[in-house]
Amino acid sequence: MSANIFHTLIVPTRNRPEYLSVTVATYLASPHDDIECLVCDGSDAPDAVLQALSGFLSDPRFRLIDNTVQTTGIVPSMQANWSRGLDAASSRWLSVVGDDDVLDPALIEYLRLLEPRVPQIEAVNWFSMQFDIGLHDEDGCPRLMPAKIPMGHQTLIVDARTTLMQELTWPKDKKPPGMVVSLYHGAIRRSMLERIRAEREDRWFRFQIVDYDLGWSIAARIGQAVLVQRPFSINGHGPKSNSWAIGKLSARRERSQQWLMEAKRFDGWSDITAFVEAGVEPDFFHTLPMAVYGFRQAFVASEGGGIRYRST
Amino acid sequence: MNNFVNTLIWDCRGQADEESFAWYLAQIGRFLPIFLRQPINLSGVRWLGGVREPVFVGVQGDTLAFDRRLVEGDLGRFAALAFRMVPPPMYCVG
Repeated sequence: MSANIFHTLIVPTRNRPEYLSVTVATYLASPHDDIECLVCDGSDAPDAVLQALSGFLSDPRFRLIDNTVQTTGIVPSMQANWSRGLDAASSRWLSVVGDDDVLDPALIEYLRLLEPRVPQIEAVNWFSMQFDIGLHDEDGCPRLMPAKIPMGHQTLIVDARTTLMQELTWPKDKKPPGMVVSLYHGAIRRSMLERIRAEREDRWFRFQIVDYDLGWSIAARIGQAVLVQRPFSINGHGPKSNSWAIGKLSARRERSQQWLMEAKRFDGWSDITAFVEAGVEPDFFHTLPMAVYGFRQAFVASEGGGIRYRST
Repeated sequence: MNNFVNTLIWDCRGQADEESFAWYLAQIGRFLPIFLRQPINLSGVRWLGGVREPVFVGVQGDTLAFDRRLVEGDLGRFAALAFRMVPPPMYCVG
């Protein structure tokens, strides 16, 4: 393997070896030798992961970070498992995907061609494709989500802080762009990550919601980021995925109603400032706009206008 | 469901013209057999055959959507299809 590794794909995994071979095989289909794939295993049964990845163990571009669960008796948190990958990687660019996701190695070509054009850029992101794995839920009900392939292919330079504020405050009456800067399903230059770690007393993360923690921190520090319409990754959702329930309408309704019951009331966007100052967990903001939007629609439908928020 | 394809063609007017739609179908048909339950009157897609199961394909904006049965809900098959279909990115930044 080349001493100067250009890109590393980190795949943290825990007890979900079913699709790992697809993730690794797709990435290592790249003909380049200056890339590496690191799988950080935090599973209770390392043999299953070893078996799933047995075909890659002889590839010098592949490394399996030791599973320490059985020797230490400690299950690594998501934060710890991601950190193990970042500690082990030494490449110029890094990406993280889940163990049921896929990254297109064409990203490597793209980064090589992009760098000379925008040498100051340290964050490259795209809108990943979403894909439900399997055709039925555990209860046998069909999953109706279609497969979708975006055909956009333009490269955009975006102001990272502006997109972050749009994500946090939802200033327009339409869905904001979401997390535009992210190591998860994105590519971040190592120099940027090292600066953040130095600011955090040699820690990569501060919160357990690692993708938002790091993505928002990067967005707040950089001026511009690249957003390419062409999707370079697939975010897979299997029955063991945290996001599997998204496709279940009944579960979504139930959780929105629960959130509204717990929130009791919502006075408007000024509350967000208070939440930020109080250091609310990042995932709160992830669910907030969806719940508010649903509530607003319900209110407008029932009373015919006037955006006022009230408890249910 | 019989009107699914026609409805989607109608919906995509102004966003993706019929020529684009035919191109999308041709792209996906390069890799997997497609059967359209309701034949559509577009030149360039008549060669699509290879009936396996009825699947439904549509376009909204610049996104091609299709029934996941086409790839049997399999992540690897979808990845192989999707990454070959998406066009290469444009490098003219702006």
